[in-house]
Amino acid sequence: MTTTIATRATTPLRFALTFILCFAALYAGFEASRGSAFERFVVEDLILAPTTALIERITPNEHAELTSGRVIASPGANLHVTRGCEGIEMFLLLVAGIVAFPASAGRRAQGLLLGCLLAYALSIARLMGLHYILRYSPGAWEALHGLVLPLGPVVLMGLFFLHWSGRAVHAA
Amino acid sequence: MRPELCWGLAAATALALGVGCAEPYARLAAPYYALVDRLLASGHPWEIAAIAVEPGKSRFTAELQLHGYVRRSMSAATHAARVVGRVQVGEVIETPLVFWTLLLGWPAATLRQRAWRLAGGIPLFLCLEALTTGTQLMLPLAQASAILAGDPDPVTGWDHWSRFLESGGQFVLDCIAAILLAAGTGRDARQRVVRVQQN
Repeated sequence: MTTTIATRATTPLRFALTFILCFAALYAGFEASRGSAFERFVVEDLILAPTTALIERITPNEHAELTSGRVIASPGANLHVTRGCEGIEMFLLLVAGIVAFPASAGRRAQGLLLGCLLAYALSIARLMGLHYILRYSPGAWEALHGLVLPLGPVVLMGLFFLHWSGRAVHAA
Repeated sequence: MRPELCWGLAAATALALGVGCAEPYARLAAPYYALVDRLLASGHPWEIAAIAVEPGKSRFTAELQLHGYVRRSMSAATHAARVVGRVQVGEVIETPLVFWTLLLGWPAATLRQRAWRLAGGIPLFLCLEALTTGTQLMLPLAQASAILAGDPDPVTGWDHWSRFLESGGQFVLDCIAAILLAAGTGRDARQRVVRVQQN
């Protein structure tokens, strides 16, 4: 009985340590790739270019274009996408969480696939949201850029993880 | 109610609270950051003049600003640089929102357990605040020191830490601290239940 409880009690510690170590390793790896072709492909080709194209498709009058220096530019707003604004942290948090949580390989693969799709959609939605806020409601910029849009998608990823981990435990 | 729904409601409430309270919280916490940053600055040729909430670069933002001075060396008599460290008030309130929402929302068996979490949470929260917003405000002091030492484009250890925090590291630290504290206090409660069952 005592052994069972001790094992259960160490689980959050083990999860926490694995999670933070895995996140730190992934972060260090991505930081090391800054400026490389891989990083440009991920940030510019996979995230910023589709975001700009989607803005242009939804609101053609915006004449949005992705300029050098990672700026989503339109006549009414120039959104400068800096380090930490691209949404990469959502992918790192997702991978670290799924690696740290005990689950079968199949469940992990399912979580990674669905989670990455969600993180990708949230990254693009966040950047589009920032563009439209800057263009049409700059008064709301402070609250949304400083708190809601950085934290909201991460919270949604956390809820996805909670849902996935609950199903993984149930399946086990 | 499903846990995802409960936590979703808690997160939405916390975010709404954060939007309304970010600036007052930053004003309230500014003296604590000043205290912590003065402690961190000791041992460096840095002087913290003031930390206060000021209008940001854009007319739509408010920032917590650190105004400080940097000398070339500890023994130098005069300041060689004046710096301003900036953190948006929305970012300032991230740590209290995430940490306290998780800690207080975590299921507890007894009121006593919740009280232990609250008591343990206060010092842990103060450490987190120092590690996150406190260190973010100090970044320009370290950069100015490196520039004065001859490095025109410095990337200091403070830069690496700041980048880590901005890339999700702050959220990770807040979550891990809350989860470990909640799990730690939960373990005592479970052991007590076992002792009662064994008796």
